[in-house]
Amino acid sequence: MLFLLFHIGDDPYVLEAGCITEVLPLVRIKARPGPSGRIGVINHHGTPVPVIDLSELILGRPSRTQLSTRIALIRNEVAGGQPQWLGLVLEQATEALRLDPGRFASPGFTDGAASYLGPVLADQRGLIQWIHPAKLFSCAAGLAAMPEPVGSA
Amino acid sequence: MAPDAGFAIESCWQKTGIGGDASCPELQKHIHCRNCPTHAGAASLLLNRAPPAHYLEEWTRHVAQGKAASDRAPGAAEARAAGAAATLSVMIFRIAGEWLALPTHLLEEVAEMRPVHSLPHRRSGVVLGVANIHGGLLICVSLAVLLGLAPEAQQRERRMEAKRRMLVIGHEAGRFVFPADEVQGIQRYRPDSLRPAPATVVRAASSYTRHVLSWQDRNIGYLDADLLLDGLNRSVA
Repeated sequence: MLFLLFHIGDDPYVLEAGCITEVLPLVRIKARPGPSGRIGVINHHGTPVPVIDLSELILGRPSRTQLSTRIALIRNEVAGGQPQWLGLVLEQATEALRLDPGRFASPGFTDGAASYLGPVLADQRGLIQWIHPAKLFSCAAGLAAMPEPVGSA
Repeated sequence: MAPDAGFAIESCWQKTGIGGDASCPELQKHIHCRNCPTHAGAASLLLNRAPPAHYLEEWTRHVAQGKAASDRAPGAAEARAAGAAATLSVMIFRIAGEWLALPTHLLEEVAEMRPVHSLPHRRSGVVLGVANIHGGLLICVSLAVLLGLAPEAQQRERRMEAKRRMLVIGHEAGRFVFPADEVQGIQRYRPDSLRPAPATVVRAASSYTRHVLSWQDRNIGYLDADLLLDGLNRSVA
């Protein structure tokens, strides 16, 4: 299975490539007013798409502005409705790699709030953690508490 | 290494690798430094540089334009295909001094120039001979003769010679190859941009040209594919 490798801090994480529609370079993100700077909006071909900075979400510091920092667009099918879109700001998203999903194992604890954190795989790069994109949508909705999901506009 | 990278890259390939004394033990396995993961890792480190000036603005503008994400939903592709069918795709090329267009679906290939073997008793006229296209022999024809276009001046410049190509056209009605002096490429037009050819044109080209198109302030003749293939088949017979 093909994965996109990226880093949060120094730790490697992966997203399944099949759930990524597009990888964009870093673009200017319109910050959302309010105390939480974790979510913003980008203009993707005229459509507003909400964006979560994973470094901000997990580490509490924004992603570095580097050439290797990219935005992955993921898509969530809503039964009987418009699909939802979400952009993820990923640091050092420079590599796609094939990993055996069967080798991922549970880290031994369950994150109540951070349910998007999935199983881990021991690799020479360290422990690679699998991020569940679907859970991020509910996380984004919780962060933003917007009246309707953005991206369906 | 760029001076603004803000970090050092350990360039072992210049010290113990191929560029140095080749003492690196990994060389046994990788043969050349470019096959080594250390080298690849250093290359991806270059992406950890700060983006150049205006990088964010430029990409923000680029990503903001174009088709919306929702257009890529299932069903949008069919809608786009329907829109594409409404446009006319033509291949633009030049023969002698005349720019011409043919429907792209007629075109099979644009090939390099190659020798044309003449046929006995066919030394003149539309048929130039046969040419080898991927091991198959195709009849090579001269559209310049068929359309009655004035041949170019003999002393053709070397620069112009480099632009010449062989165009392979055809479908069930027959396949032909013909030399063109220059091939511009494929352009799309709306069908309503076709204008009827002026009836006063007296050259033979007009009998194969039903419409004209505008391209870069020029009028180019849009050749009728069926008429052209009929004409070619008649000339070959």
